[in-house]
Amino acid sequence: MTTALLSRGYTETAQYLDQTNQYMGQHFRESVALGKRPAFNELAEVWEECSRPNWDGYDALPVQIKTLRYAKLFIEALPLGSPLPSVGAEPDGHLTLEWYRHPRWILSVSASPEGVLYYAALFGSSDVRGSEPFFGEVPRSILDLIQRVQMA
Amino acid sequence: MSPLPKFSIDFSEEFPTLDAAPSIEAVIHWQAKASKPLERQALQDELTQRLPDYPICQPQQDIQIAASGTSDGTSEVSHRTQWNGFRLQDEQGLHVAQFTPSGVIFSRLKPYEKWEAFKNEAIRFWELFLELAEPPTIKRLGVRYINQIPLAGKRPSAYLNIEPCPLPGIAPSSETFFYQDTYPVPDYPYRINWVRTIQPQQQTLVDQKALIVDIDVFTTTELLELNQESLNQRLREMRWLKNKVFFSSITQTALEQFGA
Repeated sequence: MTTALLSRGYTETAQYLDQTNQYMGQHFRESVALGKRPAFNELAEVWEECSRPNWDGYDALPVQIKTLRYAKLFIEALPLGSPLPSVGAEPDGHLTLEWYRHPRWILSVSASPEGVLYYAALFGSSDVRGSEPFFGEVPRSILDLIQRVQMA
Repeated sequence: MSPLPKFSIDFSEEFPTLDAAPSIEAVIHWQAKASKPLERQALQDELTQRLPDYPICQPQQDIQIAASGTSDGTSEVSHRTQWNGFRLQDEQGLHVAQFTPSGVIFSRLKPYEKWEAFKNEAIRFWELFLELAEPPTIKRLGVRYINQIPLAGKRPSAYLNIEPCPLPGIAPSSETFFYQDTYPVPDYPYRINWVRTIQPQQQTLVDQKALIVDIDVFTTTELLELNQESLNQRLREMRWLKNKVFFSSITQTALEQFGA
């Protein structure tokens, strides 16, 4: 149940099905146990603080609306019941989604305005890095890393 | 085909008590628009003062983002973020209330307790909302139970009277599904939204795939009478309907596992 960025068809029926899929993806949005409200609240707070130039006092780039949209879609696309990330911003204007167990067991996924997800994970003494384009579904490689962070 | 027997809510029909109920969240939701403006800081002060047993009070924000194409072939993204009330949580993290300008959503997380205690605590928030927001009517009242049943390698049909359709020659059973049925309740102003879906394996929440059974009973007409007696009657009927759906749909194996 994910939110597609692009419609996967041209007919009205295809659009209806996309909307239905989107509705299903958001079915549990108000649930405390299964919803994603805390992550969206954090996302809105970070957006308020970081959408202006120089938001950190050190010439940081503003977070763009496109980046906000990708980060929101990414959170929406997380599977039902997934652990939720903490949300932050970087001086280059990317939004970061972070899953944290302790300082050496952590995953950070950074959403860019171009729709690329850059990820970096630290698991004890080994680290994993990479990037994936975001097409509306959370890439398998990132889902595996989210799960690994929880297994510490 | 003979006509279906006339349906009625019959309080003399009782349902088993479960020692190990699979409910992970019970919700009562009042959708009722405030007639008085709720100012953010004043509301936070009021909630903090009136609900000391809910020390966690966090603002809620809604984000709306829309992307659209323009005539010159480029795209535009617009957005709106809006404060949407507060989320309050008790120290144990068992009760969460979302107190918003459009109503109250009160949740009891697992382990589930008795209906009366849950309902009374929810009504406490509703009465505070009535006092502070003065809604003229209740647009929608809902009673919702979300159940989580670890599958432990079994098929969903071990617990539910349903069997996802196999694809002969391809796969004996589906990996995941999302079934949603909506039923009007004949001769009553209620509707039932019944969802069965699969929660993927998550290390933190459940250590295996789980079946989610979500039963949401809600009103179909606006409620003009906001008194306690009328509200209690509605909630009683809606809870009965929720139980009727749940106990009609689970198997004997499930009943035994849930400690009936």
